[in-house]
Amino acid sequence: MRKYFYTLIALLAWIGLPASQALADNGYSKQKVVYHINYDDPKTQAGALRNIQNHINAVGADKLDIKVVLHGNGLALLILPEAMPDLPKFKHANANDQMAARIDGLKQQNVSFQVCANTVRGRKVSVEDHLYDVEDSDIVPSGVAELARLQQLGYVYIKP
Amino acid sequence: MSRNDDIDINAYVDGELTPDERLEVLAALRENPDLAREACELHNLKSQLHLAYANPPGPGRKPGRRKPSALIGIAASLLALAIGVTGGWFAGSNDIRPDRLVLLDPQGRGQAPATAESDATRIVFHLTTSDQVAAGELLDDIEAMLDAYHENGNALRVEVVSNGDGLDFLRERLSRHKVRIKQLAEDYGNLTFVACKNTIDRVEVEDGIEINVLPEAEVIDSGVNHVVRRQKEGWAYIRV
Repeated sequence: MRKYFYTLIALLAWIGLPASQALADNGYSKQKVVYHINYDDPKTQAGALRNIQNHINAVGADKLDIKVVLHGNGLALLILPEAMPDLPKFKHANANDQMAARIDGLKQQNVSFQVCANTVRGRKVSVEDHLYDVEDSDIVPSGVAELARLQQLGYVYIKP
Repeated sequence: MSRNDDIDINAYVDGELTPDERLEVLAALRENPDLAREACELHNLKSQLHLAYANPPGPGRKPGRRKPSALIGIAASLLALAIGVTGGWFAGSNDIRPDRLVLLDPQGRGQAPATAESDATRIVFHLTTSDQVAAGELLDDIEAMLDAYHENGNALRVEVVSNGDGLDFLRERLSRHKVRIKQLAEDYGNLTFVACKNTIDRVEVEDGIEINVLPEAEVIDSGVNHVVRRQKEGWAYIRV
């Protein structure tokens, strides 16, 4: 029974993949990935962005749909240093020029950054004034719910 | 049948046995039709219960002893799949009474009607650090989510699995969220706290003390194994 089940799965997987994808040049087919950041340590956050860049280098931006979900302390990634005095609930504001450049670079490679509305509301963040390059379309109602939703849509979860 | 047999069958149905123990039970099932029938009935009961109520567990359980009912969810989702594959086979009468619902969810909160597991969003949170501030924020997130899903009439199942340093969160002496956990466990029948027995055993040996976990926590053999199993079952996974 199990053997047939696996065979069936393999067959379905094979049918589901167009030949061009299955036989991509570098061996990778398309991937949907959600990266989870809920911590504010600047080194760890920079490391996470480096992971994402390495991921893109290996697989190719054209084959990747990457979303980064930020909530809780993770919002520190996009907080501008000058906004620090306005935001007592955050210990770090990591969106300095260097980090902003990394974020820009990733966005140009089809990476999107999603910000949790609960955190924005709960910690009194002004999306326009305090965050680096965030638009209304980047706001999701709940970071946690978004992580679950994306996984239900087939995104692979990675927490660097 | 002896009491021991009972426990073995339950553990088998719950998928809780080691490979060796499993082989033993399988051999016993082959030789004993009565036993096989019982295992089959147990399967049925659990899958029916599970299909009827997407959110099985309820009140807290004493840790330290494996209770078969604690793992209804695991067994039932595997079985739901098996049943689906074999063409919606059901046997026996469905005698789940309305009062069972009360038993499962005394508050009647957080439990949206769902007829199949696939309708429910299922999330397993994996807590492995001793950062109890983060754990507190996790509880905020979870409560907000449970309320939001409840208001929208969407079914949600949440498990928090603690192992390694994360076990502190569920330890009587170290948890900083005891009252909150108790309250949440009472309020939401669809929220379960799970503690890892491997960690408990290891810390007991290392520190030479007896570890008591909160009465709300269910104790399972391996936290890591549990989150792997949940992901295979289609649960969303979020590391805290």
